Amino acid sequence: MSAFLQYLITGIARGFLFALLATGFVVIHRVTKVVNFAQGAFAVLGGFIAYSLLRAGVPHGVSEAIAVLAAAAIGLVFGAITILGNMTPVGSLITTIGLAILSEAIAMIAWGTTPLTFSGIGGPDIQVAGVFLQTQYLLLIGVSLVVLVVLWLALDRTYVGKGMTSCASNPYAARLAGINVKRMGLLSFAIGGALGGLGGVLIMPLFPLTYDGDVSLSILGFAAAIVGGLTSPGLALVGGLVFGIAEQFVAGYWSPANESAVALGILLLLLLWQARRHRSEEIA
Amino acid sequence: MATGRAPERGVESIMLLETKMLLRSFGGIRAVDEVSLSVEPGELRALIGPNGAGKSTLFSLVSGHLQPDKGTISFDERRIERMKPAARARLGIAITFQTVHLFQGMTVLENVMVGAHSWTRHEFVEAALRLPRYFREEPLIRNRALEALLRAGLEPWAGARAESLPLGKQRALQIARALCGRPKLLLLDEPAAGLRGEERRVLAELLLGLREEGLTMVLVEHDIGFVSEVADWVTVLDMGKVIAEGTPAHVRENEAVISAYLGSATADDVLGTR
Repeated sequence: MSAFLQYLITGIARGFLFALLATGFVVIHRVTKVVNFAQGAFAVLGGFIAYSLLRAGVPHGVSEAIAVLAAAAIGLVFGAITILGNMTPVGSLITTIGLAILSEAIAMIAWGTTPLTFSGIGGPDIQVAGVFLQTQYLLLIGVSLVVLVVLWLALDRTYVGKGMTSCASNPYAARLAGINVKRMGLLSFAIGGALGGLGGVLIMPLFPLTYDGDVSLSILGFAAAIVGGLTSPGLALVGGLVFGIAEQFVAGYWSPANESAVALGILLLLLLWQARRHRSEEIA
Repeated sequence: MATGRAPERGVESIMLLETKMLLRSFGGIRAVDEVSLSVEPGELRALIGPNGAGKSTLFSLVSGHLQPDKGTISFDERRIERMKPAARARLGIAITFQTVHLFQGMTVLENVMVGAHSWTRHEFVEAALRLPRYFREEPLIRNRALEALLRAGLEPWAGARAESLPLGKQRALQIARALCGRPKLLLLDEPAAGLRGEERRVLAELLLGLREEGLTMVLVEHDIGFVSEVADWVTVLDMGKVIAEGTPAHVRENEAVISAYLGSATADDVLGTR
């Protein structure tokens, strides 16, 4: 029973990490139609920057905040490279993969190849139903939940959120309504960067990251985003939790080696389901 | 060509929109060929001409979706020919399209609200964190959008998906979205195309009502009957050049205009000259 609870709670925590990344995919896609496969790199770079700042003696809280802002700035730069050249969506997607590879190389040169971690916020472990929990889990879940709800409300319930969505829906008309479409696109990349960075700094004390960890993070974030058709932040959260919990149960009860196989299997089924749905919509 | 305006028109008044020797070519063909055009504040101007006369190109040059090869555009005493479309929208130029451009998946009201971007100031971060400017502006935007919907007769459809509306209502929606941006100049690209009797009459009333309130409009239209009902002044384009200018009645009598439209035998049908 306690093993079950342990897997469930770590699964939920991982799920929120995936949901943060998935929401990054959703925000960027909703504004620019770009599928940004450098999303996982934001988490790795953000986490690594926080690691270095903490080692340099910068206090907790400040380090993480700077790292998130740095990740937002990296997002902005990646966004500028991806969308300012007026590429096709496929061209942009390939560009983001290139940027992901580039940031892996930079991370490897700057931080090396060993997995990195740092201690999270202190405080005694909390005992819930016979399971000991690091407070970092609660921090990860709490902060992510607040950020995701705020973003979801802003995107779906406010005027500016509608304006952002209008950029992808009809950029031509959006420009004529007075919207600077490129600027909105850059903003979405900055938000995506901040979300990735936040995920990175929150998860690193629990799960060490390596320079090349961005690929699996991107894939799982993408898979979670696909649940909501790359447009719904609410469903992206659901998707994140499904993948997080599934991952931990597969790893716990079966074998960690099967984690990615199962995740990719679910992703494949989701993609098939989405493709079918699109086709039937077109026919109808 | 006859680009000078008739003497009875207000020569002294300051123009809201003025193009000078505007030129834009596509692969050697001059789509807009040295067009000089002046629109007074409060005027309802019609641009007519056969297909390929350069009307839509001229609109795109004014809205900013195309850059001119040569020539200048002044709006509200400012040179705008190098400005981006969004910047021009913020100055007060709004446009509705011949092909309806909607934001799919959003409601009619939301579509109209997006039009307010030309005057709102608050940004995403302020909306996300619910800062004061968000609370000041969001109700203003909503009210302005509802007003525009009412104006365009779309209020009953406020909550409907934009793409579910019939064509006539979609066109009205575009006008409502433009009005929500509080424009000084409204460019209408064939607003009456595909509209039937009643819808057409409602549109004409809407345009005349807006003119009453002092809104300046430029209208591209094929339907001369519609133009005669609403326009103060007509500019006729052919092969990228202005070939005639004047009141609707004056233009309908003009020989050059009649021959530009399919030759004189069928001109009566096309132009409705009786």
